[in-house]
Amino acid sequence: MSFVATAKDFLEDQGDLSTNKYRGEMVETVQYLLDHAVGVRNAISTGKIIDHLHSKGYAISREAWQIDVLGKLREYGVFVASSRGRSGMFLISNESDAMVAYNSIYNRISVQQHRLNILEQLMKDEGWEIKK
Amino acid sequence: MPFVTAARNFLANQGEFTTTEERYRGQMIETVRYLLDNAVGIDNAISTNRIIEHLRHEGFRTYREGWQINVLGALRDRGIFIASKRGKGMYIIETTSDCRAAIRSIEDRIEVENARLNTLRRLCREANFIT
Repeated sequence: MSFVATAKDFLEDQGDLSTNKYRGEMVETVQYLLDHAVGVRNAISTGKIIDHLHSKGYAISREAWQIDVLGKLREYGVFVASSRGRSGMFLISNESDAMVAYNSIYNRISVQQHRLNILEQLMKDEGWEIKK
Repeated sequence: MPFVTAARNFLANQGEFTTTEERYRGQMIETVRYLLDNAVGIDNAISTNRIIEHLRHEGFRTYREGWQINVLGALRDRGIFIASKRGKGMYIIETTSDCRAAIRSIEDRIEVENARLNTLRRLCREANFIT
């Protein structure tokens, strides 16, 4: 099934997430993305999504949205992609979008791995034990 | 406290900047100063929002994503290691315990991103994308 079709299905049936505390925020987020952010060209910033949720009466912080809404949606299979270059979130509409999403995640892993290596080296330089 | 010392040294001497980096020198200095004054050690971690608010209060026209890329990322590249813990915020490492927490935090993120990559691969196969 396509990424967009999965998102549309989620609006009809939230499955295991139907009793989730943030179900309303999840549905509104997916609806908003379907309406405005299909394809990487239409990527929208997290700030705009949060502003929209606030305008709909959902008092959710950015951090809570990232963990409790975005994270859960992704685990469930509604894959909200992100692209740093475009600074925003989007639903994948074709293979090219999927490639952007893939590269974005891959780059984030590389950055984190590089950061980890630096930190571990700094610890070694100081003679600090890495593992307790 | 090598991490605190590196941050203090940065305030005294930022080294050379490219033309693009130069635009963010002020924000970098103010960010490091604010963290040294308020966020040394994981127990004093402060949210990104508070840092952004402080910068705006100081007259910098900045936004979260721009700050993360042009200020936080650039500082980390320069060896000013600003650690972060999900749900707590940003801090400068003070102790070995802080450092271990920072390492765990990064390892957790890598794990999450790897899981996300695997999910994307599976969904791409299901959508008959070659990717």
